[in-house]
Amino acid sequence: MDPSIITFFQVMMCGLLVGGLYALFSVGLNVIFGVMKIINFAHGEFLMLGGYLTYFLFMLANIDPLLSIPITMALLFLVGFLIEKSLIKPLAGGPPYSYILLTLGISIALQNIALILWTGNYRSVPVWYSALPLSIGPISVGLSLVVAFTVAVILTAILYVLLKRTTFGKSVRALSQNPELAQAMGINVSKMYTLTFCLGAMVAGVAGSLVAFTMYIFPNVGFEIAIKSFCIVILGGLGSFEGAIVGALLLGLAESFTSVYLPGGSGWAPVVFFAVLLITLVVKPQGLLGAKA
Amino acid sequence: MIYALRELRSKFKSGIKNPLFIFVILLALLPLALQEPYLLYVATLVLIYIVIAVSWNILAESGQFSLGHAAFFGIGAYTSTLLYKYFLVNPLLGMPFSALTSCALALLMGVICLPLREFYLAIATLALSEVLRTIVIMLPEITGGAVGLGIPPLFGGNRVLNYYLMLAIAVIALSTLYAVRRSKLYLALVTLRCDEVVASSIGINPVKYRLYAFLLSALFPGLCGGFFSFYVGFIDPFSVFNIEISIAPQIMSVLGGIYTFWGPIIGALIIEPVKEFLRISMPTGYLVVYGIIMILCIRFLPRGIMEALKAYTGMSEAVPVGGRKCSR
Amino acid sequence: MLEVKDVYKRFGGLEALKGVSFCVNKGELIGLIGPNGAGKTTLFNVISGILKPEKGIIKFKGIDIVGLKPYEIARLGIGRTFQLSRPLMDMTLLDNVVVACIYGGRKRVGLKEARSIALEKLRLVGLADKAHLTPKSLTLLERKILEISRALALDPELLLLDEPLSGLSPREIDMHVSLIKRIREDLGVTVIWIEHVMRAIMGAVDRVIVLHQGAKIAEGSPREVAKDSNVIKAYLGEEYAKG
Repeated sequence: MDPSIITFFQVMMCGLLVGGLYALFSVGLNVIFGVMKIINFAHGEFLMLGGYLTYFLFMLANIDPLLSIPITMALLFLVGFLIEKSLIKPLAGGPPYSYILLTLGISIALQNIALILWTGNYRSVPVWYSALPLSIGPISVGLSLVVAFTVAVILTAILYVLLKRTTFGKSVRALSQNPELAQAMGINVSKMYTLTFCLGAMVAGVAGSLVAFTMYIFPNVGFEIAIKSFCIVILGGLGSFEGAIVGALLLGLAESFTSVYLPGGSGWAPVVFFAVLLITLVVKPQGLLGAKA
Repeated sequence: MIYALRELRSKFKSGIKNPLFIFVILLALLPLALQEPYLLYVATLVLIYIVIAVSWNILAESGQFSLGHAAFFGIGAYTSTLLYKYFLVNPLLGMPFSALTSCALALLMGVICLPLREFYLAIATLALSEVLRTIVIMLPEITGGAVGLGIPPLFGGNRVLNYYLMLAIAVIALSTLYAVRRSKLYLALVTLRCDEVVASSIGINPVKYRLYAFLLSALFPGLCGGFFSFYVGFIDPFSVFNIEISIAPQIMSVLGGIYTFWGPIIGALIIEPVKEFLRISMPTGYLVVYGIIMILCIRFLPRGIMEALKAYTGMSEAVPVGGRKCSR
Repeated sequence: MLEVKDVYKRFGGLEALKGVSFCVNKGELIGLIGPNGAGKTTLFNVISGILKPEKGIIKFKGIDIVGLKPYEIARLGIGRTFQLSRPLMDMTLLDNVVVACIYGGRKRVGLKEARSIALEKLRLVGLADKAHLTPKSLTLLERKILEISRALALDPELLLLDEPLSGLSPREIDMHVSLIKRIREDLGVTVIWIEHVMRAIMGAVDRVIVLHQGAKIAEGSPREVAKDSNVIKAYLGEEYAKG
């Protein structure tokens, strides 16, 4: 087969796989926005914390990242709970800019605390399947990436079912569409806000675990991914679960293709995200699958 | 527009109110007290941040929350630098051009952000700033790329002279923005922030005034940027397009009191020296102080120090634009 | 003064205004009534430029105003208030009115002149002593009055009032109605008034226009309209019985 075609599919594969990870992270961010109508600038830090947790559990206790996912979920749920209860909930009813600044502050604080505690060194979890390539015909991809993608897909699917089929999910959707009506129907808004936030934190934490053994963990990793994720959710449409997935896959592909095919590629990759973001905001601010504002 | 400018100029001539005048005098005397060059360096930085914070605040007054102010600083820095590098333009002449390019960028940003609100606007301004930074990095033949460019420092590196130059810039900036605060333009901006629909219904053109706000808030940071590269004798995209330059004015404004004139100034006076001090004693992760201050501020003192002061001195809730303080 | 011809406005699948036509003459005090969802506020939004109709002509003093931006229409001389009063919370009462003077007034004024004009408007409505407070400390009635005085600062020839009486006590209603009457009589401002409080509006206006589900179903003196079978049917007795 023509090597350039192989490269093309290789790049495409890589883009989709990474996109899957972005998708997992983005749907969490999206749900928080959909319900609480706030953008959590600190969401990336949940990923970062999950990543470091996974790293240290592996390094100190030799626990495989996949096995430590439940631990990560539980701890990140707790972290989310603490942050929401003590910092975010008291802000209710205030001016909108306060959420941006507060979560930005949390983000800066956590990134720098991580820097202080764990230095800026790049960490990675070297699992046995990291180095193994998986060959699908002439295309080979890292096995760890495929494993991570699979976990991401499973978890995203679980979330999907959770949001569309269960009572909890119905409450979440009711709350995002019509908060007053939802409250009138007896939904405990405050508790739902907390639960949603914790859910998002938990999912981000798992995304962090996945990043830990496929890419690198460092203090700013969460922030970088979070910024990409903002572009993703806006492209997909803030509030749309499917939109976040579509946006993630599309931007994952775009990032992958840009890195390889554009001269000086990896440098231009962040611009791709932002360029897409700006185009979306100008052309169709509600995003691909979003509801009209 | 011309009418507005004329009004502004008349306020400027009508005299500077006492507190600002005294403040400027104190700043002018500062170098006599601070003999050590490093302290003078910090003082110069403080002046820069004061200007950026007050400028950012003006944009916030119009309800537009920018996370991309570093772009104005950066483009100003590169303008004066490249004008010198390619056309041998004296930096003192180049600085006004910095202000110009900054304004041009502001117009572009403003137009892109016209339909956007709150979070969308914030992220769009951030995106624009980052895109600009990446463009600079990816054109090393022109801009020196990620490595940056070295340039001969202004006044041969004399810290005192540079301080006074920056002070001059700050005085111009602060007096202009102070005058703006007492003008009709300011009323329009605040109205836009409070309620855009009402603003339209009483004759305010939202597009015009949102763009004015962008222009006003970009002018002086651009000028500061133009000064900065020649102050440190070096320019690179990571220092002048640093996201910290976008975030710092917000923290300073919130700490000092958002939507006030002195708030950002107080915030800058407190935060910048603290940050520099921490940077020396704790080189890694000193920015954690930013985060902690932000969190504590928003949580416990959302309208900043100015509000606490007002409550303490028992002034009535609102100070009319005219500046007259009401007795209780 | 105001000519509305055949105005259509739809939101997606919903036709909010169907071929509404009427005229308002200078100096009239017109009531605009109709059950909830009739399209009254939509009509105001179309007239004041916030919404653009799909079809139709609206002429104000002979000028075609469809397609003009809200701030342009405000400057032409149409002022409005909103259903839920929207005072500018972070500004003093005086500044609330000053902005309107400066930006919406008929002639260009400087800050000083605008302040004295604004103070005058506040004095007219009885809020002058509270000029330096913010709307946070006002009662509901005072906020509504502020909203009216802000609209009056435009020196409007046409004033659109959207349910000014909602939420007021009976005594406040009487006070507010007399203010509205005064505006027409003393200032010569033409008024179109959306209202649900029937007893107040029916006794005060010259003419009534009734909207129902986007269409005009009746027009005439309060007495004629009150007897109109279409109107009674539209209200199914509930709103009407309140009046």
